[in-house]
Amino acid sequence: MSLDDLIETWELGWDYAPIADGGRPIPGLDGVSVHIRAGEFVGVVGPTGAGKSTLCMALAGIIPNLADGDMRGTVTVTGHDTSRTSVAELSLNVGYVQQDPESQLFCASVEDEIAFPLENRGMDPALMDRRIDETLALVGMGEYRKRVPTSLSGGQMQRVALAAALAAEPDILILDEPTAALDPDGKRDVFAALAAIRRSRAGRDLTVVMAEQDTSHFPGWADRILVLDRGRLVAQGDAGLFDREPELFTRLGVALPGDGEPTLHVLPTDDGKSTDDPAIALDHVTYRYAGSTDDNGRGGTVAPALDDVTCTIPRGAFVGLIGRNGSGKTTLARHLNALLKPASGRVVVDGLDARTHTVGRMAAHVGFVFQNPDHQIFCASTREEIGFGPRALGRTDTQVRAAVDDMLRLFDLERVADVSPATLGYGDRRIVALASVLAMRTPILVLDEPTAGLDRRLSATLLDAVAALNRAGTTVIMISHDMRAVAHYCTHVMRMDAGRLVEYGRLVRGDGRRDDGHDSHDDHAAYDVPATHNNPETHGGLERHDERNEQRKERR
Amino acid sequence: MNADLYVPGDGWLHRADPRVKFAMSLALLVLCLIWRNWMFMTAVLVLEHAMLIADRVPAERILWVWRVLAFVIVMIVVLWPIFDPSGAHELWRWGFLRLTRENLVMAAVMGLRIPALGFACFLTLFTTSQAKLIRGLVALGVPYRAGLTLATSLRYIPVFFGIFQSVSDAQRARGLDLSGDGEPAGPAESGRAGATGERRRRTLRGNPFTRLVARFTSYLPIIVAVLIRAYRMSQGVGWAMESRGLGLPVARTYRVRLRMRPADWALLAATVAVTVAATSVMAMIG
Repeated sequence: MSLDDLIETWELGWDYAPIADGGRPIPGLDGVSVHIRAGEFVGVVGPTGAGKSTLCMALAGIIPNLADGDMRGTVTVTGHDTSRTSVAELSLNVGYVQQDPESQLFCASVEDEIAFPLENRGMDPALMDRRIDETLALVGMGEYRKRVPTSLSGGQMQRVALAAALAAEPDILILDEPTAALDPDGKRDVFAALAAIRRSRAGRDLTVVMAEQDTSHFPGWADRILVLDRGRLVAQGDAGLFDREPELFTRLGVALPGDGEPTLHVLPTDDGKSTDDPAIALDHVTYRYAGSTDDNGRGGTVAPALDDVTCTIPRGAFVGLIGRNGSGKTTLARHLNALLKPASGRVVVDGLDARTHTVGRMAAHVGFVFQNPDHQIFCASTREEIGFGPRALGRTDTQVRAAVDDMLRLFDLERVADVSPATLGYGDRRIVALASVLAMRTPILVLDEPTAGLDRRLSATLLDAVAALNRAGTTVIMISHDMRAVAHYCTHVMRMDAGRLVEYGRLVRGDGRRDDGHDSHDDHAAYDVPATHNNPETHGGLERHDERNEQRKERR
Repeated sequence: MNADLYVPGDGWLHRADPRVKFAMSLALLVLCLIWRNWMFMTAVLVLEHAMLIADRVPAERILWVWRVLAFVIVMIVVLWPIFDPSGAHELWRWGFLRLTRENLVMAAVMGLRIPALGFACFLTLFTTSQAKLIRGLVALGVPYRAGLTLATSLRYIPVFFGIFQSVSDAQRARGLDLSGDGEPAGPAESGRAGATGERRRRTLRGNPFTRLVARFTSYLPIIVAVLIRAYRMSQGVGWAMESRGLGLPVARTYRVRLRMRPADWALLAATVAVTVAATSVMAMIG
């Protein structure tokens, strides 16, 4: 280790211990050797399951001290061998921010979150208040000092987590995809906070290792980029690597920094009343959450979560449901399978009035894929998991078997057919969750942010399968913040704002033609991903990711 | 429930020293557990409500406690006379079921005891922030890690309520039948599945115990998924705590400092006085 190196990994390897008895270890990293100098900003990129989180955990000492598994090689941080130093002792030099905001904010107020590391270090209580104010001001959260963390948005929670990591003035900041679980607004908030930290005096001396799917800030910030794939370091270099080897990133499904979001051109439709047999008809639908409170937790009259929404969606449409967080997208989607009943107005789905049907009855007509796969997965094997939905709908054993086999083949899940899906990597868990709903073969499919936190290739794998069903006649409603996916796959766009449907119509393609059909889905170049349903990179690592709870925010 | 147990505020109970509130809650819990008197239970309930209202705890939070406890209260009141047929003054008899003045009074006492015990705890939980709760416990000699574990568990109760709701929605959307009556979610289809379902429904309708077991079993997918999610989340919480220095070999300091004010001494004295008075009355009237 050279004197300049603050962090050094030598032939670092890690296999996660199998979660189930008799299972196989899950490979995380293999032979990673990295030297990071003091003051460097290092960006870590790679597809879902490449080992980015695992590397961050190793640098923070979580691996091998707290996580279960086998480590090879060595990691040295500020001269300490992480296998012989506790995470708490490493924390004197290292601040660590995870992906999931909810599981790293454990105190009942923002100020307590910031005070926690200071108290653990034995700081004089008389000095704490000032330090808390300074740190919160640094991330733009000064006015939220007394707030309960769970009442904050995902972006605000991550800024508090950043402040908690910085409070004890570490030399090194490890950021494990801090924006992966956030919507575009939340991402902007976190990146703005990071920019402020970099401008500050403390920030200039800080060594930062940041794993991230969104590479847009790396050219201006990063001194070095590490590219991981299947647990191995496959390339590294300065930020010019994105320009010199774009095909490497495209092949891995990593978005290039210059990839802007397309502008959607929507041709407004009439109410669609000309459609004789629509898949979905919303007629003046209004909904208000019971016990809605304002931002300060006070009760009172607040705007409805859905406000007089009217539209008709024809059969076979692929609708992109877009809008800011809290605009009513999820609330609208939950009306389609009767999870919510309108306060006024009417929701007719596949010819059924959703008000008079239970969620269970609607399940035969509407498949609903929730954003967090862990809310679905519970069976002992992938095969059982996929078969659960069709079986619950009363299908025969033969029908269930056929549906399961189709899905196993379609998503290349045969290799894990008899493995507990809960033990799979994040990418595979997302695929199993989708497959378990697709196997129900419902005429209407609702997807809540199906590509959130996934790399481009894995996103394409999922959406290509959905598009194939759409071509076969399935009507698809997809909530998404990914405008590239919407532009590429959708035929219609619904834009929500403050509970109102502010835009609805057919999507006009870049060449000015209206999208009347489904032919364009075969054009993979538009989504910048290779046409594949098989992404082996997603099968190894144990990427952790969690959803932000949009429904909770909409309630607020 | 989607809010923390702690209700932010600045009422007199919020300002009170947590150690005094622990003593107050403990005294009420012990007295309610040892004295089976409906008038005493009623008085305790009135006192607890008066204290919470005087502290300006919102009525909706008080009602929430009643909603949470309602099922248990009703079950106890209904089942008590069935399992306790004692009493000299019989009012009604049918087979093994015997209603007496004594067992009806005891059913009422038990029905009042549950909310009295519940509110005794919520006097402290609603009005004590996580930081003060830990600080109070540590000041009384509880190890810091134990206090932190308890306070963090309380903090995550509403989070797990939310997870349970989300998981329940996700499973119902896949056709999970939570009624336990074995009815397929989809349209009854001809063939084996439909016939099997019908047979199972007939069996379950006629057997309350089997139906109860079936209902419980139908929740298993939700419970398993919640446990998996809870495991992942608790792992993240543990990692976050250690990566912020929990367990460093230095003397821990506390931002929140405790100081017994005259009002706290007065409240403690009142607690002791009420406890002594109640115990004396109990000893006199039995």
